[in-house]
Amino acid sequence: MSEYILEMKNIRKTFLGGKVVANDDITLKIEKGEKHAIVGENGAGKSTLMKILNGLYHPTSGEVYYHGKGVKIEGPGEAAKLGIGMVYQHFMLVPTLSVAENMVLGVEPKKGLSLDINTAREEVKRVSEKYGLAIDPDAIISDLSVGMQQRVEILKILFKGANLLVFDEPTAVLIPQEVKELYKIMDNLIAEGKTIIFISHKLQEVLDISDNITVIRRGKDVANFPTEEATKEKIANAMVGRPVLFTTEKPEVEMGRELVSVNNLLVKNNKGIIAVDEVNFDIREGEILGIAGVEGSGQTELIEALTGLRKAEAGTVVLEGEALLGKTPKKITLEGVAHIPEDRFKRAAVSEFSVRDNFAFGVHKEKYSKNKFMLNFAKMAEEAKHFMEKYDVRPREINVGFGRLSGGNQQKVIVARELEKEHKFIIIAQPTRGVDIGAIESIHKMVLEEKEKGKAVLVVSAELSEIMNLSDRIAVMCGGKITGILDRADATEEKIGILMAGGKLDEK
Amino acid sequence: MKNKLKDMMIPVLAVFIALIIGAGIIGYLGESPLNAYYYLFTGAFVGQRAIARTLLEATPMIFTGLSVLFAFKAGMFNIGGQGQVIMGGLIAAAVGAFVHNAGVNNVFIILILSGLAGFAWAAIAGFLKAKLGVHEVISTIMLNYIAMNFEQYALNYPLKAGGPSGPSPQTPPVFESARLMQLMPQTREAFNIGFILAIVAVIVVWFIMEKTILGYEIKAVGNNPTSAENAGINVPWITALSLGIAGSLAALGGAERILGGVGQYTYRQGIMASYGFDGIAVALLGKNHPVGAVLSAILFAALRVGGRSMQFNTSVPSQIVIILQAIIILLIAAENMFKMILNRKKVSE
Repeated sequence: MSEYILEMKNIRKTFLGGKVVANDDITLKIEKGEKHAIVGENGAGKSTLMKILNGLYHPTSGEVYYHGKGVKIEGPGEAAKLGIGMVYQHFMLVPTLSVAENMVLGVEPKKGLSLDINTAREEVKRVSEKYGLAIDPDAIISDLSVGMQQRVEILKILFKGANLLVFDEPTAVLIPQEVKELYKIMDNLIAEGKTIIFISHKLQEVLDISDNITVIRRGKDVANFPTEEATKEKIANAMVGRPVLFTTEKPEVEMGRELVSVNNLLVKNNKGIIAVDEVNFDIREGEILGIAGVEGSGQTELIEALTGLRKAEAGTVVLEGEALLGKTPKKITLEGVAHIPEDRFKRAAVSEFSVRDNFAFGVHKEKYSKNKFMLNFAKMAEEAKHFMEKYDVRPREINVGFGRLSGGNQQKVIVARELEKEHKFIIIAQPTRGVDIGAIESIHKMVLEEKEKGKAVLVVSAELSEIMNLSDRIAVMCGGKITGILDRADATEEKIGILMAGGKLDEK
Repeated sequence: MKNKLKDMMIPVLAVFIALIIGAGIIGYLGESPLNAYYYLFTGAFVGQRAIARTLLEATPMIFTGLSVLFAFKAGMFNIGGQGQVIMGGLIAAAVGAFVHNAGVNNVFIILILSGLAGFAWAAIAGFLKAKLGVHEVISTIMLNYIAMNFEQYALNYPLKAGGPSGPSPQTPPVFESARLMQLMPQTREAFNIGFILAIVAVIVVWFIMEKTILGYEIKAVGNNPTSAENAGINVPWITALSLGIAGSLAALGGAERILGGVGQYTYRQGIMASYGFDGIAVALLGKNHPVGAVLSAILFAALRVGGRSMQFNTSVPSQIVIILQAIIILLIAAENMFKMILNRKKVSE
């Protein structure tokens, strides 16, 4: 009898007839009652491994043992029967139904032909009390905060009898306080005899919560150690395959005059609801202003208004005496605003175009035209080569489709293009989303170089550590309002968390 | 390079499979498939006359195929080819047969006017899409109906030869000065310089798409309008413009039917057949490449022309080519299924 609840032995999974190797001989052993972290960069093979565990993929070779017995997991239903439950990053809840109704979805207790809602509610109470998941069974999902919705997800899989819970990037959508509560819930689950696997690329969180760590790189399990022996550097090293610097040295820069000034900006979202509510801030030359906040607090609409993609209802945005509101994106670019969008596929690039064509995108008329009608492809190719060298984009192949680059290299193309534009003010949204650790470092360096050059920089990010790392001042958004602007020196995760949740800081 | 080859393989494979299935049906009808296909092929390609017929039939389909692919590059489905063909043809017939001023009644001027008419007609849908977000499939289909009914009205009243009480719903022939040069007059097939114009249009479309700022912006809008907007491209303008250009391409196809002498230089009922709709199949089979459009237009034309010869020489009805066309289109539309099967095969290897 093995003490392992789960053993995945020599798992290999290939796609396209062996052309793409997602998992290459991975062995994963999970002890009963432990919190096991699986870390790795985007595309390292974490998700594939978990999909195999959940029966969505079948391994090309390798074996899975559950409680020491060899199993073949054919589908998610079977995984659930074994007692394996998944909490996905994107919740699978019906927003118009109540907590109780969601929990029993698919396995409804029945009274005759109708749903026995009372039994369901009792069940919710019983399960949630047992694991310390305080939750109201009658609450409608769409009224709940993201943290609460996550609890419902956990409740759901516990109700279905899960013993091994897999969390996929569970903290990505949570504010710091909710993260702490999640940690508590995880501890309760362990105390009740459950086992937890969680997938993450946030090193701090891995150190905080796990007992053991498995690092996956390029489809292989490259390291496996108890958390006690781990340091950030050690994990990152294993993830990237070379030493990684964490805190990029922030250059000392004399801040100049005020360059950007936003006053009483009011913007509505697509549904016509106010998304940016009377926002005020200013940015000086050589200053980085970070905007923190849970996603969907109005950041997207703010950026879209600043770049001319969305009409503002009221307020002013002034760049060096020039009013920007009401101008087209093109004019705003020409006024000296560069923009690295939060979603590069939606706003920054055309995946179907080559790397060369994406480098030119948006400046094609100004920089790369032969005359009024024709593009100068020779110049585009030449500059593209130059940029690829300068910003270290790999592979160094200008005709490769943009969509086929890795996330980090895609982002480097966008960053390079925007930095090379004539600009005074740069808006950088989610600079390192979907970017691997190795590339994060170089992108952060590029952002800080902008500061050195005396540009005004606005960084919007959902990664608090990134905001803390880069910013001189931090503005926190909640529900469309800026709930506070902190100097970097005064800012702590605690304080930002309170502001993110819409709370007030005590005067002290 | 390898991918391009693979892209080309699928249409070829589709045609091949269609021919095999067609052979089965012909065999079931009690005819020799080889014999039927022999007449299908010779009827379409052997002899000056056959070639003239096939290329003549292909000409408007090249134009409408280009029209569909042009709009498609901008991310739109131009289902309005038929209406655009009709409007182009009506303007050609109206100016060519009724305007006496020799300066205006000139084949080049008329082609330009036809193109503009098609541009304006399609740009209505483009404008509605750009400004109000009306889906172009709906609006171009509705514009087709308007054009078809307008055609009936025009042929029966204002443009009717001999006035409203004239003998049949057709226009008078266009003046000599408005006619397109015949390329093979000895064949008496009306094969005219419009075919060369179609080839020129192919080159122009290719050039716009591959070399110009406009083409770059059209493809950006077609692939990713939100990114294009952020890059400062005027997305509504590009949308309306692309559909307008698509419309003018289709309209030129209509003008060719009238000015090329297909119906003794008159616009008569039914002369536009279904060329506008054929363009969709042509673009589809041609993988949205201008050269592909030429090849597939010739293929469809050959099937029709050869089909008549097959019917004449064997007991196989010419409708069999409609079945062939349908199978080809189905197979192309089911391309993803093909790809899946191809990939599946590889995985299991």
